[in-house]
Amino acid sequence: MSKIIKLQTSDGEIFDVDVEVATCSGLIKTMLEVLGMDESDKEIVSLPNVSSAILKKVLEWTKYHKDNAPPPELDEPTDISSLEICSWDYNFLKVDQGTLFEIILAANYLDIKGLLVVTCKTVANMIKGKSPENIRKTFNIKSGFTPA
Amino acid sequence: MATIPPNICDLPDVCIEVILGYLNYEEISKVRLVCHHFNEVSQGILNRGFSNVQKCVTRCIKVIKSQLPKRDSQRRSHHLAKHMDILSSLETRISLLSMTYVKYIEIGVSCFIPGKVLDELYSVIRYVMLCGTAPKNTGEVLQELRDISSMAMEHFDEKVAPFLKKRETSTFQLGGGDSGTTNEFIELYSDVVEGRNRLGMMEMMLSLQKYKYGVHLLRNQIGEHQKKFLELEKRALEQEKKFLIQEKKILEQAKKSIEQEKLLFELSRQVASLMDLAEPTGTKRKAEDSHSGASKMLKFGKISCFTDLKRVEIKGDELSFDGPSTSYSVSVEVPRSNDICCGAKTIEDELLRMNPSKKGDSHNLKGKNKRGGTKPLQIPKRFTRSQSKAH
Repeated sequence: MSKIIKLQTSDGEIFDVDVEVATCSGLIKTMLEVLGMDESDKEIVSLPNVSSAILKKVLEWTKYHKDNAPPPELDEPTDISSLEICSWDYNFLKVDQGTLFEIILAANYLDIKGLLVVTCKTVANMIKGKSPENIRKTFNIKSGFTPA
Repeated sequence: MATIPPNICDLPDVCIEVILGYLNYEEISKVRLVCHHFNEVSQGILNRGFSNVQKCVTRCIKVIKSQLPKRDSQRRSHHLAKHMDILSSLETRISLLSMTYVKYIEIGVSCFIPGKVLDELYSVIRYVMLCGTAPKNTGEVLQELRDISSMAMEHFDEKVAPFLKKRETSTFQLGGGDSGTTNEFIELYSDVVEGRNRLGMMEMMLSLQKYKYGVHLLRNQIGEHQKKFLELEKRALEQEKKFLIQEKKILEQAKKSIEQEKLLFELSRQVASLMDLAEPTGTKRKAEDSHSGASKMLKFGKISCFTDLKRVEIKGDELSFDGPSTSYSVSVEVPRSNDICCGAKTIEDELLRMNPSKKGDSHNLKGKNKRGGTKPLQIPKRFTRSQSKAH
């Protein structure tokens, strides 16, 4: 029987997560390695920076990709082919911008490299080939630059 | 309470760097215009990209060089020779680019603007390192890079650099505090506070630090000069003391010299009286040696004439004189030859001391003691004249 870990989100919801899935997160993995875990351990791990909706999405992604190796780190900007993402991820990330950025923030906080890469690639795809003005419009950004 | 969904600008720099990391450098240089946040992150990526490309080329050159033969003739015909040529050209191009941009990057007023050049540099490196066979003509491979990098450098030198210099001088004037009214300063300061002129603020801080350092150095120098001045004052006091001591010594010397002169005068008088005792014609005279204190007898022989003397000589019992044209001789009786020699020498010394300038004009007097040694004696003219008068 696999071990279960309890994760509490910022809105107080508690998720019972398989340790194998939870250790996709570098944060939880390090925490368990450092602190250890017993059978009788029923302590709850608090995640104050992640909401329940986002943790659900994150756990969905980690359950799907739990057997995948973490992606290699980038040294320099690569060619266009590196921006390709699998269809499951593409469909998974068909969400509004707010949710996408929240997933990015959660992936960064929980140290889930694969999720961070795929979400960042999605955002990079949204930026690619657009003029600065279009990018501002897409992401609703105020320029802040004074006109020349 | 509904929370506001995050914007892309709410993402931390790390996340934006990852996002922009999936774009090429040309696009990164374009997204700088989106907002300040994007600009800052993009600048970092571009600068890092330029520094990485330099390292990458150096690394590739090392790898290729290690595979090339050492002999120059063999190296030229080697299949990696073209690779090496291309990489060397890349290195030259990079050094040209760094001459244009690096100084502005280092002071933080600009970044490596031409992202397209970085893309081209990386593509050439990839082409050279990945193609197994000999690459195409070096010129063809590097043509695009040469064109765009030259254009980028020209544009920077003509359009960007003068603007940056202008801004630098305006910031310097602000740092100086002499030019510009208070209102202008407040306006600029508010700009700084609002973050619109952060670079200017940094430069201001740098110039302020420079001034502080300069003041610190000057203070140190003043301290050193003060120390030196005190040392010199001490030395001057010591010198003054020495000078006073020297003056005292001089006075003492002067007193002594007066006493010596008196003594000499006495001696010369005694010598004169001694010479007066000498009889000019055939008679024998007695003289007392005042120096030794013992009574001595001097007997002079015949002297036919006593005019200006050139030489006076004592040979045994004879005293001979040389006049201008004639020589004269006098017989002398010396009871104790050592005493007379001693006395004559003392007389000669005293006479010399009394009038040393007359040495050339003096007449020689050679004394001979019992042992047969001769002693040259000098008598000044003045003395002999008085002698001639006496005779």
